[in-house]
Amino acid sequence: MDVFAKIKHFFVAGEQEVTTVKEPEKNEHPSLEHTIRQFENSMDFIHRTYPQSHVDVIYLAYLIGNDQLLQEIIRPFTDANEEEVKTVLSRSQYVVVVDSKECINGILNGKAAVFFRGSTYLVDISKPVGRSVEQSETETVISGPHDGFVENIGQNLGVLRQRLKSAHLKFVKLEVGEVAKNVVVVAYIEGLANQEIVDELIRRIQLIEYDAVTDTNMLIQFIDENPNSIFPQFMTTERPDGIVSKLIAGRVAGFVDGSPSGFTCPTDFFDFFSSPDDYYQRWLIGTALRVLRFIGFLITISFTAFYVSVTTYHYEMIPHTMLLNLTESRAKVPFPPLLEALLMETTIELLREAGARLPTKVGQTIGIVGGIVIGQAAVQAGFTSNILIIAVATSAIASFVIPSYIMSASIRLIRFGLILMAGILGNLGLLMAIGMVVIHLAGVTNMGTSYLTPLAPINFKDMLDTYIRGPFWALRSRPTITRTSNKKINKMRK
Amino acid sequence: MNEKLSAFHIATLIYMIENNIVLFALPRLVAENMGTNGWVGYIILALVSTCNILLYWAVYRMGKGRSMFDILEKSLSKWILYPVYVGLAMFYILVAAFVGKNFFLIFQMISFQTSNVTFIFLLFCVMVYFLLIKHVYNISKAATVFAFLTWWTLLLTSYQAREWKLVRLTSYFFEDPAGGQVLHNWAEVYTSFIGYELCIFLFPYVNKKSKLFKGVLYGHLLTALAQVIVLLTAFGFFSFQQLQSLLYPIIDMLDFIEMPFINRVENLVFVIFVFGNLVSTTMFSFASLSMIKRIFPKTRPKRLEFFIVLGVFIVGFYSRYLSQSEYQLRRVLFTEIGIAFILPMLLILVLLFQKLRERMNSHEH
Amino acid sequence: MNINKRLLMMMTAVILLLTGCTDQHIIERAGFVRTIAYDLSGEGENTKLRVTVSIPKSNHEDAIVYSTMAESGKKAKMIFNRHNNRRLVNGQLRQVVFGERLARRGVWSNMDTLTRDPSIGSRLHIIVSESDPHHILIRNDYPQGPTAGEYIDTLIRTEAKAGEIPDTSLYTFTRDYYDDGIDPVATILKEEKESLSVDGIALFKNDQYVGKIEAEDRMFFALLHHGVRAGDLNVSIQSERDLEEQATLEYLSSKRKIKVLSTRGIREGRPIQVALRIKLSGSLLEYIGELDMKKPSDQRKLEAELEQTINRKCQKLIDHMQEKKSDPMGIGQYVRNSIPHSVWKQLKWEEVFSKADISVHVDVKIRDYGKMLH
Repeated sequence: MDVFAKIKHFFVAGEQEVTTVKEPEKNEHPSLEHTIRQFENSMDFIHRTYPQSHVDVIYLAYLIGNDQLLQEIIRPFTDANEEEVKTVLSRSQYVVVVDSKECINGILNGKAAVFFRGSTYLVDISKPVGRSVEQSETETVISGPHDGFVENIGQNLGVLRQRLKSAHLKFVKLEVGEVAKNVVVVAYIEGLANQEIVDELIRRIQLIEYDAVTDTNMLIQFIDENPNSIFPQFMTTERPDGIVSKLIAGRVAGFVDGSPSGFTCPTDFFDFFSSPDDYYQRWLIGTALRVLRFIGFLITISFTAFYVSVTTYHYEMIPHTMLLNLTESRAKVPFPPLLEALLMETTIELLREAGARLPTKVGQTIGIVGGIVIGQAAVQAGFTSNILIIAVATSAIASFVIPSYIMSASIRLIRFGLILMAGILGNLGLLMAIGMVVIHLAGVTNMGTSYLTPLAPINFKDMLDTYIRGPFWALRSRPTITRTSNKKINKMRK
Repeated sequence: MNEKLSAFHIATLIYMIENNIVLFALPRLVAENMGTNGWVGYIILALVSTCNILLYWAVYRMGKGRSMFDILEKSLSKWILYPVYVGLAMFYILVAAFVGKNFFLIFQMISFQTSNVTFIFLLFCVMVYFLLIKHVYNISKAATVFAFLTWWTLLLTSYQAREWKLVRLTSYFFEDPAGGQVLHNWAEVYTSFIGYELCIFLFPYVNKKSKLFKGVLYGHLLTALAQVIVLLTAFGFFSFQQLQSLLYPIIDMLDFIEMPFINRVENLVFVIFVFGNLVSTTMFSFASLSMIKRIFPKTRPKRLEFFIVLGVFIVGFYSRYLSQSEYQLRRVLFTEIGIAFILPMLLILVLLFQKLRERMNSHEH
Repeated sequence: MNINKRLLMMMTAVILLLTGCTDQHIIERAGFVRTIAYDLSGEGENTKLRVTVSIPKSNHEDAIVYSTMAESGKKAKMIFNRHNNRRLVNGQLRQVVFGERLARRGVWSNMDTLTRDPSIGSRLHIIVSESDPHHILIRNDYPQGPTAGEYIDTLIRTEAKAGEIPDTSLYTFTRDYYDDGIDPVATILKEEKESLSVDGIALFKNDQYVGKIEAEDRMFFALLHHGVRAGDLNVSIQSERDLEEQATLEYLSSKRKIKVLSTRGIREGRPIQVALRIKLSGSLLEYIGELDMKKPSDQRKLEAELEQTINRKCQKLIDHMQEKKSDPMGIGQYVRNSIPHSVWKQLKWEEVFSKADISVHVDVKIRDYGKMLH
């Protein structure tokens, strides 16, 4: 390459690559041989033949229910002649398919394919798979609805329908994953949700090219605008009441089959600090809870870092009486505060992770052993100072005040960066690190809306339902972040 | 991104640009250059700068929202304008660098005395870079958050209330300035307003709905109000002669604050103003960027930004001592005052000339 | 993206480079100087400073005390650093004690060092010691508090909080030192057998200790100097009933107003007229005397007698201050604000002050008489 071309290449923007979506392949008429070839070598693949009536039935053994099988296949086809089979197949539950891909998808979804004289019928004989509705483990609630989503999407959508009895509630079914073909459903309320957002969300989900998308929290990483950001950009929740309130606000929700959580968008940073039960409390208490969570957020990210900064660089800031106590407890510690803090923060993260992996009963024991015994012993052994233990423990507890587990994990990670910077540049480092986070946040968008709404762009009306939980009489309009055309609450455009 | 700035964000942006490092020396600058009850003089200067903003407003109205470049290039040849652009771009890099570096030199007086200031400044430049590569809309969002992080510090002035005495303000107006009553000295105080003139670079990013000048005026007056509060506090808290001898009176005011759990808050509050400085430096870099982009409109994204921040870093690298840095800062800010007044007048002249020609053209037809 | 990644890598490199910082003051590795005492080592012109520092130990009970002769405070610090295993830092300095001899000669050169050093806060107490300051610091057998530093700190804070003595911090001292209409003051400490005591208030002219307000007069000085918030005042009333009666006002609060009555002929050296109005109220919790507090007329009478006595005391203090040409009440500030600037600039305020005609008007209101029925 000659020099000029190189320089030009250096300065002039390159042409943008256009990503193309693969067209679905053309499908032929479903045939028995083709279908068998698709499924051969799989032990759950069952092929029944009824020679006297030339009927072939194909299904997957573990997807179907025995009662349904007896009802729809065995009883009607056993010892039946061709004429009888014809009448049976004319019943409405036997659907004719002309596309072999559709036929295979049907079998994968627990249907039986009936081949009779060159035509193919699908009949649903699936049994519901999954657990019953239980309380969500990650988002527990004291007062308010106790049910959580389960792994079966049909059940989840059913729960949603029960809570939101509106004909305007629409579900759009999509398919994601080249191999696994996971079902994704986008839910929205027509007339409340912004159609552009719905279309954009559907477009993005259709663009996903990946083998299998097994969870909602995985899906949202494929469709967000800032894949390298540390923050989750879609709010996910396992609570139906959370999703319902978001839908009513004009947001768009989404579910992945096999995942017990749904996501909503557009989301802003402060959404992660609100919980549906804020609305079940009196508004003053709800407000106090919100404020508490923001205090928790501040403590989580800055308490330990501030300890490091003050004990390493800014001894002047400590009041004199506290200083002597602090010096006394630090006197035996061989490490500089930065190392000490990182050590203890890592320990507490280990404890937390171990607690999450272990069975509940063992987890509690480990928590007690780790928390109390290690903490006490570490101080007595002169490993850390007791004030640091307080700081670390407080910030760990404060991090769990944030209702979203995903967000609280992000924040806990950021904390390490802040501690590091505080250990290097004291308060300046701490604030520069916070500055970097703010700069990053200012660039993040979700479905085209700023992540920092309603702080920037500022909207005082939305703040009423963000930093505080305003009384219901004050919450008269839907949040602007949803860009809904139907701004006023309690009005449904017919 | 087609989002436009809104008045509120323009206001916070202007507020943050104006709230740069000059703030810390402001009470002394006022006492030194204006004399007793200098805060009245400060209010007068605030009105003068408001008039200056009105000039920009006139440019905006007459040019119907066209950017400065569009206006100039319609009447003047590119061969004349491009060297001017380059010169101004270089100058804005100087301003950005001196404003940015000065903060850290003051910071090194309080703590981190022996750390390598170049590394700290490099870190700062990295922040500037990451802010600069974002759209100006995102810069304003960050500035809003930063503004919320700094606003509460104004409340700290209430700690001075107990020692505040009206009698210390004296009954004299503009007596005893250290260097006599000359325009040059008042200009030195005027440097604290520098920043509003950058509104001319925001023209392409606003529309009618943004109410650009409402935002600029509010931001400017907010700054003035905040600083008048600070000035009044300082004039009643320190004795006048003491104020003239303190290098950074705000730091002394902060160090007086003592809370049961925390003492000497200047260690924390001073560094909060790194955000104001960050926004100032970024916006001056942004001004420089706008100039250069006009000359090379087709460069790869983030390339120009990188070189501008590199320039800021290199220039800042050579300002190493506080006294030297203060001198350089004064120099560039004085020039900037000149530019702030001359630029809109020039643009108005060009616009008048254009209108005249249009009228003549329409007569011919 | 590419540049971003490169920049992030650069930043990591910077972070790694920066970790070898020399500016760390890790708390357990620093020696915090709590108290500094300056004194002259002897008489004569070329005597060195005697500098003593007290560094509390983290066990709250002992303090390390170093003392040396040096030309300046910073030089002494370097000498101490040679002894101490922890680097001495000034950021937690809370008291500066000046020996009487040094204070009489002038304290500004040392004060200048203190204000110049950014690590030193402006809240530290300025104290003049009549006893040897070195000895005050070296003792650690005070029953009131573990170390001298902490004892002095709490003692002065308690006294100043009630308003009985002016809060003499570095901030107030430098503020009043610079101001041309007021003179600074400092607290005087004296070493007793078992304790330390506030022994009055030091009057300064410029930076020189020129006069003293005795400890028993400190409340009257407080009335003149600033508003008292919650002090106790014991008054011995010289009444016509030829018995010396005792009255104690507790929870006393006062307000002071200065009014410049006349500045006519100030240039010709005619004395100016200034009125000081003091309004005070308090609870009368002790009265040993003949008046019957049940009678409203006697109550008025007591108030009037209190007013007279306080007035007399205050007048005496003012005379003392005028004699020393030191104006800690800030009358100069009020005079300055009532005359043109050019006149003030030509004025020698200390002379004008010493000749000024200052009248005191006291207004006493007894809020209540305790829980007895009068």
